[in-house]
Formats: sequence, structure tokens, C-alpha cells
Amino acid sequence: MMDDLERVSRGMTVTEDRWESMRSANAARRIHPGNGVRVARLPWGTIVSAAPAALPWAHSWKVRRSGDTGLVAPGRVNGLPARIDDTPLEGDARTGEIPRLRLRTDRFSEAGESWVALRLELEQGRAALSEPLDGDGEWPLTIVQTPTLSPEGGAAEFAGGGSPDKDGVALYPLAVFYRGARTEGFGVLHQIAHFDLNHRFSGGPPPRHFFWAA
Amino acid sequence: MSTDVYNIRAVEWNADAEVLDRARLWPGTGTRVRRHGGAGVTLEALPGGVWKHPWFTAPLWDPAGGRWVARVKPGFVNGLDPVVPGAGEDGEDARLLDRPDIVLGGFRHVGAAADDPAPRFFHLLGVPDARGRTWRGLPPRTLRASDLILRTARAALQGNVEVVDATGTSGTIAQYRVGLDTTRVDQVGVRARIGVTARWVPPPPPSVAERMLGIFRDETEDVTPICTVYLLAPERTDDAPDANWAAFVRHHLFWNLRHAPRNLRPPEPPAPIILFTGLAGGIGDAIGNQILANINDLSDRVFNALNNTTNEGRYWT
Repeated sequence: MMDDLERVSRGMTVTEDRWESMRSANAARRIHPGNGVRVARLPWGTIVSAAPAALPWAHSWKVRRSGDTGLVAPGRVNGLPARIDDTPLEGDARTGEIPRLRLRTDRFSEAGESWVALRLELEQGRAALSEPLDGDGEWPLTIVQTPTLSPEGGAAEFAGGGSPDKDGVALYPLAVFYRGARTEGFGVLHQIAHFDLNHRFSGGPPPRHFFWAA
Repeated sequence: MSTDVYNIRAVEWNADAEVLDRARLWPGTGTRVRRHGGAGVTLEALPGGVWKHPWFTAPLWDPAGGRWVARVKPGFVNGLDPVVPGAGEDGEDARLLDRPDIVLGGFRHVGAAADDPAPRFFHLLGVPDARGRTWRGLPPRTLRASDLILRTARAALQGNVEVVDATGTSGTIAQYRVGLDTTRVDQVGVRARIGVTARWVPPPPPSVAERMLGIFRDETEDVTPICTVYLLAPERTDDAPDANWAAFVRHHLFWNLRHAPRNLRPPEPPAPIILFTGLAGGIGDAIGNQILANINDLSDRVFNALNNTTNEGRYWT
């Protein structure tokens, strides 16, 4: 092989080249700790340890992608469930079908981000999240894909720690696709939300929606 | 320099060569090997597609740069990933989503300060306790550490003394005003940033006297610790950490965060009281207003102390 050490025979001379090749081979085999590995060099030897694999966790709002389809694990806000296209994340009550989010590669910001976000809409004139007073009204919690966390479009202002408000509508990030400078594909998915949420609206000024883990 | 030829038996040479060949590292299940030519080999555990918490930190030895670096799994503050100042190309800021190498430095000597003792975990590995003793007589080893912190700039409350000539006379009135200092926010913005420091200690809370007298200086950033990276030497040494040291991480932050300062806008202090008496050709006004200036000062100080001494922000999950 490329860096196999030379084998010698009786009578061959220990030249500087042969000695240096032995020293170089020794240095080339030195082990450095990389990701998930610890190398402990002790006077009596070297111990190499690898990090144990973490356990998987099926938490609320967990987002998964397959092709251009997204799945979102059920989660609740103030005890209310969320929906995709009017189908609960837990599945349709009659058919049991799990809703899917249609993902699009053209819904990315210039910085290469696209959020899977919870869209919350307060009923007009109300400051608290609730089911529609009218049984046929729009459900207040839906899952959307958005290139911005501002309901008005453009950059979101989070100086107040709360999500910005536009006519009672707010966006809360559940996960983000990040593809950097590339212009194709979805990039890497990063989960942001892990717990059910509590919500409260503040009229400000400026008006904001506060979320915290339930 | 000697020109004598070493007489090494061929069987001994070949035996050493066999040992070195067996020491060559190959990737097995769940691992990956990267070779650096004559500088060694990096062995990595492959990610298993399983869940690690946000802000999970992995220290690495960078053989090319000859330094310790950290890689932090992206976490989010207000839905946005923090920036790492100077970690990008050409020293620019890098986003945490771009997985930059965060250079570790400024390592403190753990155990040197009375309020920074070595955790018992390391005492069992040979780090001396406060009395300089090692566990079961193990050879002493040096322990150093560095803290990764999360910083978010915010406006700071600032008390200003405003000198006003309110009466048109030669008299002056000094008023104490509360305002917001946005210098730091203007410099770096409100997006969270990751920093490295030898040791992060939370600032002490202001005393009641400092609050009442208005001499407390509000902070311009809210800081929360991410983790502490410990580096354990193979023996006692004063040298800087190198590839022979072992790295351990103690995490302090496990979840994504929201952040908000206490106030978005300056608090509204009460309007100052001004007395117009018209007495003594206007001189009475000056006297009266100077008296009221003291009262207004005290009113502003009490208002500041009771309501808005600081614009301290909060992180929450």
C-alpha cells in the first residue's frame, strides 16, 4: 500500500531516509479526537472513547420531510390542536388520514431559510386564543411554510421577544430549512420547537404574541 | 555528527514495522477516518440520525490550526440562529447554521480560584483538590476550562442630568432624566451572538442604595451560559492545551430560547413641576423653581428605583 513501511533484510544499511520514513510513519498514525470521540493520552497508554448514540425523541411539533412532503407531529397551543388544510395533525377524525404539508423550494428567503411555522390567528375582537365562535369558522392554528417570520412579509422584528402581530395574525417557528447560498433543494432541516405551547397576546405598543413552553 | 552506521537487527526493525502497520487506523462501524498526511489521523463517530439537544457542543482538536475548536449544534433565539463573530471567511461573522469552528481560548486554570474548584468528576481523574491532594495518590493533572456564552444586546437605562435655564434668569435648574442608551444595539443589532470567555460570572444585582441613588450602571447585553469546555492534561503542566489533552463538556443550555428586554421604549417619567410666582420681579420664580428642581430630582430617582432601574431582559423557553 501507499505508505507501507519498507521491510529490510540482513545487512541493509540504516540510512537517514529509512530512519526518517519510520519516524514519519509513526507521526502519520497519531490519533486526534474528532466529533464524538475523546482521546486521552496517559503516561501508561492512550484511551479512545466514542460518544454513545443519543436516544430518539418523538416530541411535539417534530417536523420530518420526504421529498416535497412534510409531516408535523401533533402539538397544542393553550390546549388547542393545530391543523394542516383543516385536518388535525392527529389525523382525520373519520378516516384517520394524517395531513401532509406540501413543501416548495421557491418559499425561501434570500438568506436561504424557509420556516415550517405555526400560523396563529385570533378571532376578530378577541385577545385570547379560542376555537371559532362560529362552528364553521377558520381554525385559528394552522401549519404553513414561509420565507419570513413576519406576518407582513419582510424581516421579522423580535426585539420584544414576542412574535410580531398583523391584524391578530402571528407566526411561530417550529423548524427551519437552511440551504445557505444554494438556490435549489431544501437544505438541512433544523428543529426549533419541542414542546406544547402557551400563548398570550399583548397589545403593546407594539402588539406582540408571546409563546412559552407548556 | 557521528557517521557510524547503526547496527539494528533486521528482525527488530521488521517487528517494529509490523507494530506500526497494525496501529494504522481504519474506520469501523459508526466511525469515519480523515488522514492529514504526516500530521496524523482524525477519528470521528458518525452521527446516527438521532436526536441531540440544541446547543450540543463538541470540542475538536484542529491539527492544521494547532488549536482546540468547538462545534455547536444550532440553537435558536427568537426563531433565529445566533452569529459567531469572526468565525467566517476573512474574519467575518458566521451564522451558527453554517457550522463554523468556534476557536476556544483564554483557558482559565480550574482550581486556582477559591470560588472555582474542580468538579469531583475530575478529582477522580487526578486533578488535585483545594488542598493539593489527588485521589488515591494519582499523579496530579492540570485542568483548564473555557466558557461559551450567548449574548444579546439590548438598550440600557441611563440616568442623565439635564441642566435647564427655565426662567430666563441667570439661575439654572438641574433635572434628572431617565433614557435608553442604544449604543450597543446600534453596533451589533439585537440578534444573539456566541462568545468565548475564560470564565463567565453573572454580574451581581445592584444594591438598594445603588438603585435609590441612581448610580447603578445598567448592562448593555443579556448573557446566558451555553456550556463549559474542560481540557484535562495528561500530567501537571503550565503549557497551553494541545492535542494530548482530553476534552469534556458540561452543558448549561438545552433548549431554544426567546429573549425580550424589560422595555421596548423609554419609560415615561412624570412631568417636572414648575412654579411661576411672579414674585420679586421674577427672582422668586428662580428660587421656587430651584426648590422644585430638587423635588423633581427626588421624584425621578424614586420613579427610576421603583420601576425601571434596569432594562434587564429575560431568556425563556
